[in-house]
Amino acid sequence: MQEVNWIALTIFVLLFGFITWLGFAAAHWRKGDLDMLHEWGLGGRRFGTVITWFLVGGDVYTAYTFIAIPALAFGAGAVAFFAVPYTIIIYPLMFLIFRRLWNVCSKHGYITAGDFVKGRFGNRWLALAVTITGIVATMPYIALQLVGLQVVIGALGISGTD
Amino acid sequence: MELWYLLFVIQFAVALWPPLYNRAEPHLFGIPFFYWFQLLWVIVSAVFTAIVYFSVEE
Repeated sequence: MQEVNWIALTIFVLLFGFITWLGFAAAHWRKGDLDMLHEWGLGGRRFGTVITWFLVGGDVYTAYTFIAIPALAFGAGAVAFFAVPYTIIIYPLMFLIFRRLWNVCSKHGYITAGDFVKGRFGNRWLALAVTITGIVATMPYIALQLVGLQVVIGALGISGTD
Repeated sequence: MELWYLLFVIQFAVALWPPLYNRAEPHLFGIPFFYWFQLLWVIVSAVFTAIVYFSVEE
């Protein structure tokens, strides 16, 4: 049984509590009508530059970035550097595509990629295919996140098994 | 000025052409070229994106 790292665990719990409190506090700040899907899923499309900046940061700097990619680099070497050219390419692509996508989706009230495809191409089967592809393609990434979480919590001395 | 978008073509070409940087020499602070060149282009591409953003934005 691994020794519990009390200092790290205390910092983790305090931060976790603070973030949780912040989440509930933020829910009351500029309250939205959560019966509406775009309020619940997209924050009512009211995110400005600063909040988006933090959201993108939260999307990018995850257990995948800090645990899975370094682990791949240690385990398999330079192949893990796919992540760097990927990052160089993905930001300009988002810059080119997402502003237009946001405007179109905002104008027509689209919430998901499936909504956009259905509206643009008028084919619900294509929309379904895009949606299922998105879910399936996200699975390995989510699995890596969970492995990363397991490593992080394990580093606190909580392993779950003896 | 739409020509500013060509900066993206440069950074795509560099990132997608590994033979350009698939070498160990020259080292920088002991880091092989392969690594520091790619990390340098993270910064360069951020600067490029900022240039395009401020150039095409009204």
